[in-house]
Amino acid sequence: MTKHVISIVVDNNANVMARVSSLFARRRFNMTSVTAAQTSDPAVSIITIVTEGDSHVLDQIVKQTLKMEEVKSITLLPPNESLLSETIMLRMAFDPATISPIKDIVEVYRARIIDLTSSSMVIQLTGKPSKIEGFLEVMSPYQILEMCRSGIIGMPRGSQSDWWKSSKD
Amino acid sequence: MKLTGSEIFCEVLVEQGVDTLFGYPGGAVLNLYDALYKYQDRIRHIITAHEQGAAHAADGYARATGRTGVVLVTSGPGATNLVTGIATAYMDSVPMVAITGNVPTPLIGQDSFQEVYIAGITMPITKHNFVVDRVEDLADILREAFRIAQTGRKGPVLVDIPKDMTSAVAEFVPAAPVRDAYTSHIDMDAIDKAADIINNAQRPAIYYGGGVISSGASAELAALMKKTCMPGAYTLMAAGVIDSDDPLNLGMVGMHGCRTSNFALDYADVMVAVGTRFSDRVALAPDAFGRRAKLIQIDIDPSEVNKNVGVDVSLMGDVKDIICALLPKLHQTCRDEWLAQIAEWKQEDYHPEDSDTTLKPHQVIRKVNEMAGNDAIYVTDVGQHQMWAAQYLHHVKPRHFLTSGGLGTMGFGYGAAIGAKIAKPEKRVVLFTGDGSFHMNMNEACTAVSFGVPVITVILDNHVLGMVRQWQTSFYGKRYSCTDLNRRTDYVKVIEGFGGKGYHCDTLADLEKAMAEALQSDVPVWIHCCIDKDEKVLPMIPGGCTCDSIIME
Repeated sequence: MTKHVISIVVDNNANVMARVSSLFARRRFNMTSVTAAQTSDPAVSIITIVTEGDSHVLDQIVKQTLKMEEVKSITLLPPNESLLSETIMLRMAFDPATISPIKDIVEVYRARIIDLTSSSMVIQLTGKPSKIEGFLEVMSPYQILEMCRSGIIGMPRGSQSDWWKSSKD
Repeated sequence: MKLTGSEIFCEVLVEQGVDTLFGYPGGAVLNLYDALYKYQDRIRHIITAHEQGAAHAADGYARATGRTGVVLVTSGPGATNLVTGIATAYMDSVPMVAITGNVPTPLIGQDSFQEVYIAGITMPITKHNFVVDRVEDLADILREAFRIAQTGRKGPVLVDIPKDMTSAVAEFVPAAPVRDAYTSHIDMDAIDKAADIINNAQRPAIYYGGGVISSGASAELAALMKKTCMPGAYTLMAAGVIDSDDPLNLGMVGMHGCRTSNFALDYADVMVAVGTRFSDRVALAPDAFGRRAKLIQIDIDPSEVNKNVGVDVSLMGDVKDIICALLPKLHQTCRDEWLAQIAEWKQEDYHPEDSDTTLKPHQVIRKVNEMAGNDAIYVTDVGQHQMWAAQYLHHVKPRHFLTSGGLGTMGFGYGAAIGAKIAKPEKRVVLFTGDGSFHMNMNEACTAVSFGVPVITVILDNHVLGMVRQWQTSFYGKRYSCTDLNRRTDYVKVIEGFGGKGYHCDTLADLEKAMAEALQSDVPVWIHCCIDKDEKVLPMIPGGCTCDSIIME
């Protein structure tokens, strides 16, 4: 199964997120992560979805989503050609033996400690998906108490600033 | 001019050419009905027994005319009762606008009396839906609903109007009726490619569906078949697109389609799919469907391409536009060898035996067809009777066979028949139903009586759920779990109680007499025909199989 990041430009209406997720649910399209927020144009939102599937499934995802009235465009964001970013927060337990190696990892990954108690800390990291995955892997030997991730957002590289205004045609 | 939301609602309906509404009043739509009282000279309202009946009536109205059917109901249970009707229209791409009232905006989300989130409920079964938040938006939302319902691939749209929106006042600016905003952008390279494939075919066949009716492309399709000498097989949704007498029109294809149609598509070296979606009742084994053929697909909806079955060339656009672009590129051809093969298959087609003593389903259907004529609109419910009607009626024109194909909604028929008769009062309308389906919504008899809608209902009563029982016979070792209905309904008494007329038939002679009287009747008539519970719909290709596994007896 290949992972795909798709950026869906929609009218910024109430319900639009529900419509898109309802479509994914009823057609059994995978949704690994999803983010949605208004853009610089208050009438427009962008929904970024990470999904899995072969080319046939991806074709159906794109076509079925494009049929929706409030969907203006869909752009595939291939990882190598796109700017992708995610934020992760980890609440880690630590003791005198583990605090130092954890801090070393934080430094190497340029993560930040944003909360600290006598026995735990919250670490935040923003970066491209491969960096987040690598960070998680090296943190996994230590005790992760809680974790949450923002989901991936992204844009194409380059100067094409009006990519999300492209019409349905 | 300043109008209330309710007046705006009526004005937009009139502006969009709506003269008939199917519906049911209630608390949340009191203001709308109060306005309708003033507009009753321009908008006729048909109240049904149940909101589901109203939804099916609006659907039947739309199927019979091609115009958008409109249904209006109250909030809560009124709205949820529409759900099956909306889903039925959605699966068969029928243009419909459903309007639901809702509790006033300040009460939304408070679990108020008769409140339900119908926009959420209907999200997966509408092309789109709206909740009106500002009375200033009401007129344009309604127009948008009509535009979406009848543009491109047609379908239902729901507009939910909170009660305070119907009393609030806004400026109303009249507008022109919305039109189908769809335009085909024809890919001429793909047309050339398709033409080349068809011109080089030895055994080409057409597989056509309901999209040909939506597009109004019967004549164009017939021309395509004739010029290229390409035989065609139709889905349930496309019965009547082309005259049954046309020698190139092979018959229905699919699970209960005729042997010839299924064999022709299976052996074709080129298959042209026209306005059809490779459903699991036709492409029973999707990987083997059209296994010897290059596939060309003509459709208005790009998401149908490669959805269930992969195709070689796709021609996106309105069916009529595509055929018109394709036709000049095709060579006039004779295909004697291929037609000879088809004629040979036709010798093997299934023909049920007549009986002089008992009523046989095919004889009932043919007798009714003979007496009501080919110009009548035939409507069905869902089950064995539906398949028999599809198989044995002599279909000659589009929009004269109305049936729930995609959703397979038992209980569809009576409401749809009433809607069709109201749309086309000059036409005879005959409903074929079964004792299972009919018990779901026979209450709509009161609607037919009240509004003087003389629909003729022919009940094929086998005392069982025939289609389910047939599967139990063939695939479940004759374990007839819960399909023996054993109902004691006296249909003649029931319809007389409703204010119509009823006849019970044991023989074809009885049926002939009953039909003769029914055709003269100005009240609804039920004709009760008892058939054997072991009658089967044949032929049959089990799900997942090809025509190699066709069951003929």
